[in-house]
Amino acid sequence: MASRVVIDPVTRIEGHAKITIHLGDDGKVTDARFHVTEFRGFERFCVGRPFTEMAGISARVCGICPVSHILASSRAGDHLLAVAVPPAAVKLRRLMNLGQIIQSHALSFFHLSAPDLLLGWDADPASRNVFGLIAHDRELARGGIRLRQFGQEIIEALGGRKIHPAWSVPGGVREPLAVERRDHLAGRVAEVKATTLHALGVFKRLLDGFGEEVEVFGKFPSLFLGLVAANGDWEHYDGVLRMADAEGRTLADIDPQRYFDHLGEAVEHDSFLKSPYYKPLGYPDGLYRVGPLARLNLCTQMGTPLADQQLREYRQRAGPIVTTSFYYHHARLIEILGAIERVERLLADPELQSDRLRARASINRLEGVGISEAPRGTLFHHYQVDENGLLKKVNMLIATGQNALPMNRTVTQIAQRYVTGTTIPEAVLNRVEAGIRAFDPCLSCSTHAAGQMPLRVVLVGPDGALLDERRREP
Amino acid sequence: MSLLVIGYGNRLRGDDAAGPVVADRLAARGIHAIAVHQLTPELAELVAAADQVVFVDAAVDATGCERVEPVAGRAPLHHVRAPAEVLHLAEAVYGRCPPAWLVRVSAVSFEFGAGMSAEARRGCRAAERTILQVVAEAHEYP
Repeated sequence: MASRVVIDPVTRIEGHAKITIHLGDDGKVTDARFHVTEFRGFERFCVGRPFTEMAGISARVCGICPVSHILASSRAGDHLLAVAVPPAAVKLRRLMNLGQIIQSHALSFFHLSAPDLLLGWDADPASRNVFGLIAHDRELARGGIRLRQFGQEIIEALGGRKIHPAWSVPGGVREPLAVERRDHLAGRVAEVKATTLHALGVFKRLLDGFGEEVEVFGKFPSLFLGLVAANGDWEHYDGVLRMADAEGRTLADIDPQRYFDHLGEAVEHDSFLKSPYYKPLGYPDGLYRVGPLARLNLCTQMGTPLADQQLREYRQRAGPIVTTSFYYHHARLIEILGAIERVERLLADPELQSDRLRARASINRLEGVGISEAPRGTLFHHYQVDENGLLKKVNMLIATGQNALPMNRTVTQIAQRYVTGTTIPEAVLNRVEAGIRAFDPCLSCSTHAAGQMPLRVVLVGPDGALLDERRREP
Repeated sequence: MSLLVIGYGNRLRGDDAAGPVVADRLAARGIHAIAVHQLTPELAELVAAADQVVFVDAAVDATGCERVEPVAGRAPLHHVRAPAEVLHLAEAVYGRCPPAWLVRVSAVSFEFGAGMSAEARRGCRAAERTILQVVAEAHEYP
């Protein structure tokens, strides 16, 4: 008799999700799916609002990465106004995005994933959490808390608050960085740099013990999408939007304003998560990954000395193009280090105290797309407005959504390797969840589309016969 | 003796703004008071450095001031649910946990929107008086 094993809800990721694993009569996994059961509706209820409100509204999509939405929204607004943002404002926006990347990656590694990585999949669930981490390595835990705090302090220093800062707007930003805040941040750089290097050392020592996980936690060839600088430096705010394959070949440098010529969005019956794909390869073959793994695959160098050293070591270990999702953890730590080095460089720039921060104009275009690299991957905000700047249509491509197909494949791969029989140990369930967590998905963002969800529940037998099916059509 | 007041809650959810509102008022009087959206692990360091800590939160059918003891939690570290977990983190990570209290402000509505009910506004004033009494006893406020 076919059966289902359900892990609901998935612990230690942002938002809520469900994983369904289908077993055949022999108890082996035939398929596994990652579902998102959250429903948000931002794309629909923003229609009719002034586009200038979108930075503040879209920031409320998420309490973890509001900065990403604020910046992508502002950049869409920049395009609607057809302005050139003052250089000082660009640098300040970059600084805030770096703070966002630092705090989000620190949260992901130290708070969400480290209990498994350091304590092991088979550790007692009662201790496989942050308090177990503290008992195992108090300095690492303390450093992780303060590292995340550093990223949040950057955001607060610029935007006046850690969550939902109303600071970046179409045309620029509202305030420069005050000297006393700059000095406070500069004084913390050495400590957070040391914390990150320590974490990298700990993780690299553990890597040899994760040989099996490296092979089965989402190891498959895929495309990769992200920003990269024209000179090959790692990028997070501007530059070239590139789609490359698993051999590192560039398939397309995409004009963000015409992203829809290259990227399609599929709707799955079992999830509120849209599934973007690369159109020339169709759905689902056009699946691609975004985020730290992709950004490191797309760049030639990080562009800062310590991070470049770590990147060289990473590639010596994992190859020039890394295709296993387990290495998202490693890539995340390298990005933290590179971000800290860039923060240090920016803080020394006196232009951050400039008062030339905003270009002002009226509506000059009726359609605009803004992109930025959120911690989890490339974020798109696409607005169509009327002559008065009121929104007629909103579309957002979220990083976690773009990783939806890869997450499904990862879950299937892990489940096929570890789930056998009808007795499922805790460690196996946690490996399936951990495969999802490697992507650091943020489901609050990803389920933002409105409308009826087409729902399909299917039970498939071992011979492929459809045993039962229920549908709810839109 | 140093006192830290942490008022927490969502300012856009009606009476849930009570904690931050009380913290704002106390900060305006020169007391070390911070208003936060939610309790996070970064607060553990501030808590560990204080001699006394007062948390302020809105609550339905609950008022008054009660002592809080550190308790280990199972919540993900990025969103600590209760003052007791912040205290436990302070003890576990920084080796110190000061005496702490939770002041609850009576709330009737957590609906979306800014602005508190009359009951919550009265509760904020009462909470402020309670905490000022704590401060006076700690000889920090003449």
